[in-house]
Amino acid sequence: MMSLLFLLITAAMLALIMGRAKVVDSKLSDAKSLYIKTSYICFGVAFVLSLYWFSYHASQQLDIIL
Amino acid sequence: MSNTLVRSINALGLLGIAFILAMGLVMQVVLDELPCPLCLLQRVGFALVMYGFMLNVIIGQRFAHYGVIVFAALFGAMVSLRQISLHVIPGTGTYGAPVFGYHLYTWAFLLFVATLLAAGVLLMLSRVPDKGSSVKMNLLERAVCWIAIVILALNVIATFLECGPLVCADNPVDYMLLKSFR
Repeated sequence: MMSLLFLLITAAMLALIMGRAKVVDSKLSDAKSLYIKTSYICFGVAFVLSLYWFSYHASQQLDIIL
Repeated sequence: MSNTLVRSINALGLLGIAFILAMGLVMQVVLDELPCPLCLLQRVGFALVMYGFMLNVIIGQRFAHYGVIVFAALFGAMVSLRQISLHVIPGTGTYGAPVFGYHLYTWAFLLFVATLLAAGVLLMLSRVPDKGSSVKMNLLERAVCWIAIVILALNVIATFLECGPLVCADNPVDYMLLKSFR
């Protein structure tokens, strides 16, 4: 689970660099670059999963506190 | 302050966070201090902050990119504060060895707060956001981006060796995958 989060963020960063190279070469705008869109999606999924995982971890120990 | 200089400061921020993650890995391997699930989530927080800095370096400065840094730093601060709260009551113990008097989760909280402050200062120093097509990275910025990616890839491997595809143990004492191959 945790390694998936790191993997998603690494993929997002790699896609960002690849997307930038693509944009410079073909003079396309950033928004049209598939790589950059993929990067945003990977980041978004990683962020949501991180929040989910944190809330899951917190809820596991909530019964101990209560 | 020119946008090029502010972008260089963003690259320095990226390098700084990459250095923090690298130090975490060094402590994990050399001192055999395996990170707990909350420790790993704090590393994820740093990685998300790195992504925000990288957006500013690669695409150019935009307010949304600083938003990414702020949200990521808030997430990291929330996780580290949670871990501090688990150990703040006397007698509840601590996790890991202290570094310069503070435990790593306390350092992480201070660094996330420092990141928030840095993002605020950078926002004040920024002028008109960069246009995507006008940004050209220099060799140093390119190198910093690749260093960050390599360190993050090492984290993927280390975490997979420790936890495998499953949920990490609360108090890990061994690498799960390496143990299963012995």
